[in-house]
Amino acid sequence: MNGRRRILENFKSMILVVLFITTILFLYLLWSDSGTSSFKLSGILPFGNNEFAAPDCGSVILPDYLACGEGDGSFTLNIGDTAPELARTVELLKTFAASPLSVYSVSGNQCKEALTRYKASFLSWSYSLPFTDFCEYYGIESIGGMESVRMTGIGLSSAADDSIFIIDEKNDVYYRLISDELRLSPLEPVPKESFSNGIYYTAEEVLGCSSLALLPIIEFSKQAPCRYESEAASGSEPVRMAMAEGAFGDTFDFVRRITDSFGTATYMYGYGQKTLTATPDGSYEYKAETSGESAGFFGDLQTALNFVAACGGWEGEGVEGISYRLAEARSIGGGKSGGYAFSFAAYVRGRRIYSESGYPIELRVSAGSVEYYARNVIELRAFAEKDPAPVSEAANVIASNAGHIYKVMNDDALSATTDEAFSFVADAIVSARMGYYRYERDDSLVPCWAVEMSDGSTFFFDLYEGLPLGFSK
Amino acid sequence: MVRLARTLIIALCFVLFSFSLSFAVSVVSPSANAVIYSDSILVSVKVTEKISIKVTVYEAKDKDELGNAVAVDVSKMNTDDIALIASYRLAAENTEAPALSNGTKAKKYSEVIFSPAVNYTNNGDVGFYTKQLSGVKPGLYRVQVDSLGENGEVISTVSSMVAVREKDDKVDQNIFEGQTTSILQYVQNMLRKLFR
Repeated sequence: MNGRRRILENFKSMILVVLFITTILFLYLLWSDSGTSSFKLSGILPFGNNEFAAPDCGSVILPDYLACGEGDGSFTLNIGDTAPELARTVELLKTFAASPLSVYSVSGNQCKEALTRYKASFLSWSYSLPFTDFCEYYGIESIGGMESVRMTGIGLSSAADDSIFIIDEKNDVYYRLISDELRLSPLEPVPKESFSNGIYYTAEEVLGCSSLALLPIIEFSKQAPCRYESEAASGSEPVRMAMAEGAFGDTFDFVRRITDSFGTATYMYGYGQKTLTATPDGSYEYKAETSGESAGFFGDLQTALNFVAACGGWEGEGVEGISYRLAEARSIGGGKSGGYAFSFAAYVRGRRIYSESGYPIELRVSAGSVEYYARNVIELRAFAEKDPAPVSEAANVIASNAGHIYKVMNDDALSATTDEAFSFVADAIVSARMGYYRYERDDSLVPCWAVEMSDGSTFFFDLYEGLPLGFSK
Repeated sequence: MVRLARTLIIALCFVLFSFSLSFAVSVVSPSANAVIYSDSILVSVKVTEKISIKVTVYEAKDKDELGNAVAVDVSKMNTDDIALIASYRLAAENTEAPALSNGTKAKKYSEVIFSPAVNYTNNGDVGFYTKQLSGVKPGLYRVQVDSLGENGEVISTVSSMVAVREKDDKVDQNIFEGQTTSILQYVQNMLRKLFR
């Protein structure tokens, strides 16, 4: 009897030991780095079961435009969907990189002459992409000597049918890749019958200045004002909760919520390691401490895309889909602990939506994680177009508002004659595009001219009247 | 005597006014005496006074052996030749025709309207009239800009003459002269060629 009891006691002790060891093991798995990465609260809680559709990098790094020049100073621009042109250029680069080639540096004047005085085509981005990362992402064989090159454009010219030009306008550096075997021809321009963006000439030819920005000669437009609703206004609390759940993920249960008298809600994890602020105007701002390693341009961009997909999403729910494209990418810091600041612009039917308050989606990815995320997006409730109506010409909009632009650019500190102001402004033009201006007081999108200047400021003018609507600096 | 002085003063004022208006209007494109290789012309006129202008584009016509009006042969003309033709157009009847670079003499060509007159009024400090003319055939063209008075009368005129040639696909062989490659790139280029 005693023996049986002793065996039973020993068996109980063994069970206790096993339970104790199992507890330690589970605790280790729960709190260790490898454990937390595989074990996620969001996988158990209801909000964590959402499958977020994140776009891939290729769908947001579309070029701003494809310009096709006839060699006589005139250009046609495709500023709508440039995905097919990008795909064709990537295929050309793939074939090119796989053939025997040489890399040469050319001057800005040589490159510009090849692209403006001869039949040519070029893709243009408003930000610079690391060339090697671009090649790696698209499976293009790496090209020796181009490791540290960044690019804002890729050009083809009949002046050199054996070459592809890699353009880095921001650093004024230009490369010519010459193939020993291949002969290329510029991409064909968009058929004029279906073309609604007009013909473009350089500002030098239209205004008689030194700027080589492309200005449209366009007479009519169908753009009409449209109504929108800010994301938060369409259901403030659920949207806010979804944002917070997406942003805090596993740690959401441990988040404090503070609401002030103005209606601004702040969600905070720990002692401010992560904060999400939701303001009553519909904008969100997320900040977090990060530690890890940068995954390079495309890796960090995908991290940003995934984060946005989880925190608010990319798809508008309005009657008209709003698409987003990368509009600005800046390198922050250096090495593995550095990263990129990404800004995304909203587009509706190929036209960009501009706002004085900046970009609708902005993120900073540092050390491999999102450390800052700001979101102020809208949903269109009704998209409208009207019968073609005469627009105020871009050249005249710039000329008649030169004094206003000059004052803003110089902080109202300098005075100038009409001629001086006009010359200063004309030389500083970077681009003039048709788009929509987000008029926040009226919750409407107003058809506009957006004139971007070399100091980074952008001025908005009514498309039909040419009157100033606002500016961003 | 007083009457004569008054008349002279009025005439002087009119001349000065016309002179100032001619400065208020300038043809930005096409630049004067240019040779354009295209089938289109961009017309851009800068106006720096609150006035109205009238823009007309003329095509110069030569005569063939049968006396038919034909386009001027501009295939061998350079910018100096166009400048000589433009100034000779305004010269007095008995002025001797200057010689062109190909040895022939400049002519006073007859003109036909290529693009009908368009009026433009500038209401600001600076304004632009812009228009793209398409379907332009090789020949000699002149953009004429008349500054108009309050009653529509022509006060002053500026013009810009250009030669339009067919698009030329010939590449300037010197365009990439001086392009460079670094030693590293040179070695890489060599290795690439050797081991492919």
